[in-house]
This record gives sequence, C-alpha cells and structure tokens, in this order.
Amino acid sequence: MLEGKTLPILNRPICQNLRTKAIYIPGGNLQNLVENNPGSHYWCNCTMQVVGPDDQFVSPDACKQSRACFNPVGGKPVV
Amino acid sequence: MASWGEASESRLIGKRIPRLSGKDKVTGKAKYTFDINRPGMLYGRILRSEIAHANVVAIDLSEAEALPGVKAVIPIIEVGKKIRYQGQEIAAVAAETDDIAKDAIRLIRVDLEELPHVVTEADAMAEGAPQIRDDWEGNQSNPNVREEGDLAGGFAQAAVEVEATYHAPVQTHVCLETHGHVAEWEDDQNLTVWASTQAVFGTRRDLAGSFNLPANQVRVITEHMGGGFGSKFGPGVEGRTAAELARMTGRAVKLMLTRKAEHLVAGNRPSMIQHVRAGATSDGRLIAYDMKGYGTGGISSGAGFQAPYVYHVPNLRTEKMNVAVNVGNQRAMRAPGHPQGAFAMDSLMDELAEKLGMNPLEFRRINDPNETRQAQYTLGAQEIGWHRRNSVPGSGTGVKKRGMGVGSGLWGGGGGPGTQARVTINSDGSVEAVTGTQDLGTGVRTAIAIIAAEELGLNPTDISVKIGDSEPGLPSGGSGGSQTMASVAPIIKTAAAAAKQKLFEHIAPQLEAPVEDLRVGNHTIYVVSDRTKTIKWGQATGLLGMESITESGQWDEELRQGGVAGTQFAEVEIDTETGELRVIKIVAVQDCGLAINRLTTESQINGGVIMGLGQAILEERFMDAQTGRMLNANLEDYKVPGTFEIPEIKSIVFDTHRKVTGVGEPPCIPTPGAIANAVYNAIGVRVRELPITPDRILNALAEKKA
Repeated sequence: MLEGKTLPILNRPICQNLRTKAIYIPGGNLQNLVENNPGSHYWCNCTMQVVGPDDQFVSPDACKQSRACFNPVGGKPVV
Repeated sequence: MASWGEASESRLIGKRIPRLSGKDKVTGKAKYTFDINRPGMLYGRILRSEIAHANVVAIDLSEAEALPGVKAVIPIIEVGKKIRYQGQEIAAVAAETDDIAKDAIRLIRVDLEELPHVVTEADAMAEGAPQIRDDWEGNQSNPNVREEGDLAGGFAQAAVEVEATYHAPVQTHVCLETHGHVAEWEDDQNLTVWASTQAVFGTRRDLAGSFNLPANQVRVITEHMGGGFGSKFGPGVEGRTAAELARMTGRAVKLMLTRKAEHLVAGNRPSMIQHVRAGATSDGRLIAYDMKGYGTGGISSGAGFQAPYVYHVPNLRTEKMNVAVNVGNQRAMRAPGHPQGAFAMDSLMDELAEKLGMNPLEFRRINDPNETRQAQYTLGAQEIGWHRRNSVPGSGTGVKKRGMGVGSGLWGGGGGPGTQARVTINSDGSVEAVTGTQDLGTGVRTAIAIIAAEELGLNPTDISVKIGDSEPGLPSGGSGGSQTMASVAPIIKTAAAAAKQKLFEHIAPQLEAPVEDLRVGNHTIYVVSDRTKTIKWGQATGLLGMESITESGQWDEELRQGGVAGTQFAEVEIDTETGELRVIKIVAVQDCGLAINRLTTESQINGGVIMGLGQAILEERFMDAQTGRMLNANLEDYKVPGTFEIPEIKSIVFDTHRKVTGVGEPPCIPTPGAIANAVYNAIGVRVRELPITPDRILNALAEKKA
C-alpha cells in the first residue's frame, strides 16, 4: 500500500478508531484526522456511529486523550 | 518514463468497448452481495427506533430469543444511552428465515424515555429549541468564516447587485443495491465477508479492528456491487452486526438493509440554505460576494457546500454553519458539497447577468478563469443551439414554454499511490490482471482489461481480471473522490509492461533479435527491423513450459493528473397551466483526462446527469416535525428519475490530455444549475428552491402574476 506514498507526520496523537471517508481513498491518509474539516463526516470504528463508546460525538477536535476510549497513534502524547 | 502514447497509436485505449461484465449482469450471472447464499445461511434483521430522540431505559430480548427458528439476538445500543434519530439501531436477530427474523424483531421489547426532538433546520434554529447536541450551542456549530479582499470596496464598485436565498434539500443516495453483507466464519479466527462496499481493504481493516483479528485473517469480497455514491466506506453497523451474529451462531448470516433503512441511516447529501448578496461591475466582472449559509447533515456535522463556486470573485466573505437535527447522518455523496453550491452560484450568475443586460454565457466567459471550461462553453452552446434561447426570459408564446440554461462544475480526481497489482502471463497464453480494487458499476474491470490488452497486443476479452477480493493480498484504495481509475490504471499499465518485457527476454533468442527490437500486436510478437521474424502469442508463451511470468506494477506520476472541468446546457419545456416541467435535452461537456474506455466514460457522464436531474426536479427528503419521522422513506414517495423523466443526454467526452484523471463525480454537478436557469429562461420566473416541482413553478408564476 505504501508504494510511492509518504506517511504523514502527525503533530499530535489521533484515535485509531476515528474514521472519515478521506482516509479510505487513494491519496488520503491519517493527516485528515488531525484537524476538523467542517465539511467532513466522522465516525467511530468501535460503534460504527457518530458517537464513541462513551456516547459522546467523535471528531478530530473531540477525540482526545481525556476520553477513556481514546486509542492513540502518532504524535507526542498530550492531555 | 511511461506515457499513454498518442491517441493515433492506441488500438484500444480511448475507444468505445462494451463492458466485460455486461452479459453477466443482464443474464443474472453476476453475483452481487444480495445474491450470495451460503450453505446453512441465516437471515439477519435489525430493530430500529421509530422515535427520533430518546433515552434507552430497557431492552428485553427474551421473547425474541424464544421464538422457534431464532438463532441469535443481540442488543446494539446499551441501556442508558441515547437514540438520536429515527432508524437508529437497537438490536438485531439472526434466524432460519427472513420471515422469522422479521417476526423476532417485533418481539423485542424496548422501553424508551422520549426526549424533545427537532428534525428541520428551522425548528433546530428556532429560539427555545430543545438542545440536541450538548457540545454545540443552539444546535449550531461554530461558523466557518472565510474572508478575502475588500468586501465593502468591492460592493462600492458594483454597478448591479443581487440578493437572494437559495435552498437545496437533503437528498438520499438511493443505491439500488442496499448496504449489506454476508458474513461467515471459517473458525473463530478467520472471517469471510461478502460486502457491498466501495472499499474492500478498508472494510477488511475495520472488521479486523472490530473483532481484534489480524487483518490477514479477514477476507472481504465484492465481485459486483450496485452503487455506493460515497455512502459505502467501512462495514457500518450492519456489517459488524452481520459478522457478530455469524460468530455467535457459527453460521453464515446475510444482513441487507431494507429500502426504508437505506433512506434513514445509510447517508444523505446535506441540505443547503444560503443567503447571498453579490455585485458585478458594469463591464461584467463579479466583484463582491457576501454569503451566509447553513445546512444539515443530521445529528452529525459535515454539511459543507462550495460557495462561491467556479467563478473568480476578488472580494468575498462567507460564513457557513452546520445545523444539527434528530435525523440520520449524512455521508459523502457524489461530489460532496458541489452540486448544491453550483446550483446556487449558477442561479446567482444568471440573475446578475440579467441585471447587467448581458448574455449569461458571456458573463461566465468574463468571470471563469478556467481555459478548459471556456472551450466547453463554445462546444456546448453549439450542441444545444444556444442561439435559440429566449433573449427575453419567458417571452415564448403558448401554454408550453421552452428555455435554456447553463451550469458549470469542477473536480479534483487524479488518483494517488497505494494500489498493488500483478499481471501474470501463463504458458497457455492466458493473462490474469489482479488487484484489490472494486468495481462500483463504473467499468473499472473492463478498463483494467483494456490497459493490459493494449500493452500485450491482445483483446480485452483475453484478459482475466480478478478484482474485488482482499485474499490475493494486493491492496487498493477505496473508490471515492473519483480516484479509482487514476489510481489503478498506472499500476496495471506498468505491471503489464513489465510482464511483456520479461516475455520478450525469453523470446528474443528464439527470434534472434535484441529485446528492444521486439513489439507485440494482434496476438503476434514481431521484430521491428525484420517483420518476417514473428511468433504467435500462444507459441511464444508456450515456450515458458511449466513457468508463468508474474510482474507487479509501479506507481508513475506521469500517467495521472488531477483536476477536471465540466459544463452543461439544459433545454426544458414547462406547461404554464399545470407546472409540469419536462427536461428536453442535456448537453454535458465533461473533461475527464484520458478516457480509457470512451463507452463507459459516457455511461458515467449519463449517470451523473441523471443523478443531477433527480436533485433538480424530483428528490427531497420530507421530515414530519411532529413525529420526527421521514415521510417518504421508500421509492414511491421519494422520486428518482425514471424513463419518463430522463431526457436526451448528449455526453461529450472532452479529452484535454493523455493522463488519467477520473469522472465519477463531476458530471452530476452542473445539472441542477443548468436546469434552474433553463426554467427561468422558459417562464421568466426564478425558482430558487430545489427540487423544481410543478407546485413551486405554479407558485412562482402566481407570485409573478400577483
């Protein structure tokens, strides 16, 4: 999958269970989960819903280490 | 450096070639997920909430579990959590027959504590509206503001101004094959899922994550699928539920969404309401644009739209917000944010042009910086007969009045790296092209065959294309963003070229010629410098004996390019007594880069136009404010275009270069704007709300008369 592709350098950890369409398609990557895009739809792979296991909404802004369900990847850990 | 060569050199690429799966599809041989039936398979059903907003107090599965024929019943939502929209999943069953499953979900007892709901944008934004998202204020997201230039200065230069509100309602995807899966566990560590998905490998990854399995122990198969339009990324609740029911019962489970559920929970295109004030100079330059707008994507966010669009405005301010309602969530839908934005912008452009006393096409030429579209305006105008339009809108005589309009669009596409593929030449002369992409119905399978056949001097029917299966372990990205063809085509071409090179290396000594002197065409390998030296394809591959040649492809940036432009012209006829709107003809001039298969490219354009037509004249989700329920969650009251509505469509594949770009999304963008402008040209009354239905036309005519 990585042929010709450069992995993004994430400046903060993101949740491995956060999803948006852009990460599924060619040319997309996890950078799409670092900042909120007001035109994007986000969901959680744990629930397959727009809320996480804690019943709170998910998004790059909302999915942080302070949530018990946060499953981080990349970046420097921040609270 | 690879290239697709000149058009004159292409034997297959760019020609009109029937899709390889066509016969299988019309005879029913092609198996969609819906058609998959496994030995001992159970049928899954999901109980959904009919309440739009509630707390879950209790769920009792015992009666359903006791029903003969029921093999598993599972809760999907936990007690204490919230239902946020009609259709939200509560519990699921697996049973010996679909009828038993339906009976079983009726036996599940659910105690819900109803909460106040809002299902329309106006109700959600009204003062005192119940708060339905505690992370937002007043059910609205923070505004997303963009400012460029000097807005006040721009308006000061304007000779004319238009102030108007444009509205596009929520549209649902209406995939003919509903979302669904058939899940089967080989043992407790190996899962196979037939999925109606746009992302075979993405679905594999998500299911592996859900069941804590290594990705290579999940197999996802999508041999054929019946449309996704952006709504089928990942397994969704229904996919994970099918797999969970299959795991519990040890039997295969099929779980396809009903048509009603498809409307309620499987995604939609968000609404758009925008109030815009714009100005143009006396010489026809768009000079100032001030827009405040919002839309709803259900309880979630993502209701973005493009504004301004296509045309250059030096001074602007835009402010957009998401509005939350207790309705199922939006998902990406064919050119997300573009068609509704284009409808508003192209309507606005015509309104400004009229105030300037300018031909709307001329006004566009002044303000459109895209050279490709400038050429398309000329071609499209010729094709539709633009000179026949009413120079004075509504000036036609008689009860039935005709008019013409134009709309524009743009898109990115262009693909990206990440696909892996291999091309194998077997000693019997057969050729296989294998990759993990999926064919949503766009014709990727045929395009892969064309590319390999062109490279190997064979016919497309000589190539066995194996796609839509994760098991060969050749990943490819999801099909979205019009990226598939441009992502897959370079890899297939380079894989076929590498396999050909290897075959030439084997054959060169036989032909007593250097490898670089060999060519292949018409099932024959020959020596360029001595055409008497030839060997038939089958003879050449036969020399491989028990061996095969298998080569992988390499990503090559030079074979793809992003960015396309399109324009469409519409001619309509309106019965001014009944309000009936008939679209007579659409001319779609669509840039798509290199069209690998002109026939399926035209088909893509036709499909996009038809989807745009539906948005323009038919499609609208109706919500009942009192009950919080969708009133037209079916295909009787939610209308999509049929043979009576679909006009003559002239699809013009506008090749601009010899690099692959993609055309899945862009053709649906300009259609609503072109039709709206044609309606105005016919009757001289502007309808600023989609869909343009007979009642809206009659109301507009009545207001004009009053």
